[in-house]
Amino acid sequence: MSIRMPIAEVYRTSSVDDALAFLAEHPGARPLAGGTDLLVELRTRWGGPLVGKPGGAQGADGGGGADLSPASLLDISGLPELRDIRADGRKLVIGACARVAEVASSPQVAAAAPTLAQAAGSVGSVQIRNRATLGGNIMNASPAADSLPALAVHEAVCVLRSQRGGERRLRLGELVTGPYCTCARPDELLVAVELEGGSGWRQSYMRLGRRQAMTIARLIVAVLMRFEGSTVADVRISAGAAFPSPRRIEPAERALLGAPFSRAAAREAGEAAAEEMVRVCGIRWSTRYKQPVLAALVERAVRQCAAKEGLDEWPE
Amino acid sequence: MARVTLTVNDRQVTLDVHPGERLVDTLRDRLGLTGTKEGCGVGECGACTVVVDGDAVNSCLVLTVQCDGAAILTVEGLAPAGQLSRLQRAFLEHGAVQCGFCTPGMLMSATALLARNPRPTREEIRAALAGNLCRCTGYEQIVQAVEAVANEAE
Repeated sequence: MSIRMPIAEVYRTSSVDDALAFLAEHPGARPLAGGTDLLVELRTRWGGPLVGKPGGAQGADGGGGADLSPASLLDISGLPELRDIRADGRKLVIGACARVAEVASSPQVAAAAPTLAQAAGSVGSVQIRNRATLGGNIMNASPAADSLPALAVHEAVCVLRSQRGGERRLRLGELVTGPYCTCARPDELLVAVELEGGSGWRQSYMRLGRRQAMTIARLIVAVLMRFEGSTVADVRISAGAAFPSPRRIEPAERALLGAPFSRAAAREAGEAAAEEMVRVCGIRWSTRYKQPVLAALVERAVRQCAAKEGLDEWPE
Repeated sequence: MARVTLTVNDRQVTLDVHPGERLVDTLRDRLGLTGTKEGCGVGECGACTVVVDGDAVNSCLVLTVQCDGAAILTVEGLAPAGQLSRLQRAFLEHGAVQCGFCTPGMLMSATALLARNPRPTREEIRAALAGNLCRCTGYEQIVQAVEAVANEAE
């Protein structure tokens, strides 16, 4: 059945400057890159996600509050200047329109941030990864977005640009303010993400879903650890599908930082992470599952980092 | 309306398209290439998979206006003179087709894989087909068919 998406206009831009000029003139326009979230959202808004109903403009919510006006889109997917992935000294700079498949297979990403490569490789399916972009994964701001915990432990800085305000650099946790919310202004475009790379980190990324592919994550954990001898010299822990917005879980990090690594400390870090999730989110329908499972995942990820350093056996 | 030029199965076509027109609809309704199927319409099932510039994509999640200048391969392009491709014959030999609805998408995902990696491992085949659902659950025969072609590669 033929479906016409509720789209009034797709402006195909040829440069970032041209894109910014378009956004400045069309404050309601939305950037379109891979479309794997945006086009699903537009279709859902129009008539339900699973069955195309011509004329059935009432969504599952009965149409109340749904914005049914056709969208104006700015197609940035063809901008080569936004697709670059490059190492800049110790920094890794990834263009906002780098495709998730490119992030997953990039040697630079594998070298500086293997957690991010793994996160990118677990997004959707091959077909989704071939279209979806890292910038889109950030700006869609799903609490279960696969890349966000990996970006959070690498202290990602998001580079926004607008015609009026020039460049604005925000930490990931500042840009993403809540589920599906960012503080980007309507005329701003995310152009790049910068990661602190650096060697010496032991890294772990774990993702639980109901199946391996094509599933929204139930929980994600990303951990970076640096050891001096057996002492935990530095540690960064983040989790996805556990908090409203990306963040590092400081109480869990405190359980490990500056002390010799031990399995007891790993367990304590896991429990601290789970307590922090409950403190921030309250008791939800999923808490009975997520609290013990987040604790176990953080413990296991920390032990994986220690095992890579030769300080623990590989946790099964 | 926007004018786009596509190369579909080695044939160049120029069309005026509505900005909200999806690639799957252009292929099926305007070019008559109904081999590409639409299942879920939201990128979950892979039935609408086609190969765009070498990449397997869900044609239900691509706007045709985004494909200006692109080379698109659909299942019809696998057998241009009515001669089945090696992969298609392997599907028949291994009983990898049951109801057939997922078959074009499976073929296109596997074709994109084999073009890039002519000798994939079983794990690589499974990963490449993870975005294609088969409601008849005939996955084993499908993987075997792709494996058979991979094992013949130089």
